[in-house]
Amino acid sequence: MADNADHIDGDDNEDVRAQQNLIKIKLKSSEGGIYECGLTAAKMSDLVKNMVESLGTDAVVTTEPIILGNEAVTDAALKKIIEWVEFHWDDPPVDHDFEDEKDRRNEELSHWDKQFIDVDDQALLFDVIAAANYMDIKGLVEVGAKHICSKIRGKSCQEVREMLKITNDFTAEEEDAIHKENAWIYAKD
Amino acid sequence: MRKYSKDSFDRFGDDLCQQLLSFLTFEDRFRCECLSKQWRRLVFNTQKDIHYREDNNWSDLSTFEMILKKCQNITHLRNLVYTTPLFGGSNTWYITDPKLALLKQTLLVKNTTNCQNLLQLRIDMPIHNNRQIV
Repeated sequence: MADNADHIDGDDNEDVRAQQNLIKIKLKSSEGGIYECGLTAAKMSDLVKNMVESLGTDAVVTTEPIILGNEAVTDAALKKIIEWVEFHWDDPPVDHDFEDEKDRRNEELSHWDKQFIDVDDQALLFDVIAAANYMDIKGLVEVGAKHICSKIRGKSCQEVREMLKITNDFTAEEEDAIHKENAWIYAKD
Repeated sequence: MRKYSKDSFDRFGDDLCQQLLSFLTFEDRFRCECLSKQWRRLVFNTQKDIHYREDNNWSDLSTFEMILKKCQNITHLRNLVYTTPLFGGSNTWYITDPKLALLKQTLLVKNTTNCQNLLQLRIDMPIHNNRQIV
């Protein structure tokens, strides 16, 4: 299987992708945990994809795990990420047409994604998003961003700041001035 | 490098803030202005496109001007009010609203500090609007 894996790399044919996902590669978290992931799923990460392409599939399958050294890639975050890519690897490719892109941005998360990303532990949530960003999994970063947006929409500045634990580096006067300038936001018709 | 708490959004760089802002409405983006200096900078810098509507909360001229002053990277302003070149091929602007005359001065005179990156100003005229040529 691994012997002829290289020449089918990059083929978008669905059967080939399914077949390739039966090939398991190993991913190593920054905490040292090693986890198996289907090849097609793992390649949803552009970081992993580039590594696989430069090393060759055979090398990746048969040798050492791919090391994900960023500290956001904890064991827990990597497990979540593998769960996500294993669910999404056979999604249809994203169309980058401008109008569609706009629709896609406004599109709600699927039920599965909502359940997946709604984790109570905010440190884990942020690890997953930061790790997905490091691993360059655009779809998952987007899911994380949309999830946070759904939580902050319509909330006051102070509420958002508390929720996301953002450090306020404005002076009281500066903040006051911004609130005055933005009174229009809170003006109800 | 400064170490941020893992459950704090402070750990994220501009790229993720920007990504987040891209999913928010115009109004919610400005709600984020007061979060921190990083957010304020990104709210201002990433606003490229403004769809003006008469019924917006920010459609009065002073608020609109303030927004234009803050957002220096605007390249497209759309759906401004009540004016159009009346005849095909003519570049003359026909103003029907004193507010727009002011707006035109503010926006289109090259030596103002607003909208230096403006590429396109799309102005729509409702068909039944009473046309006045100035």
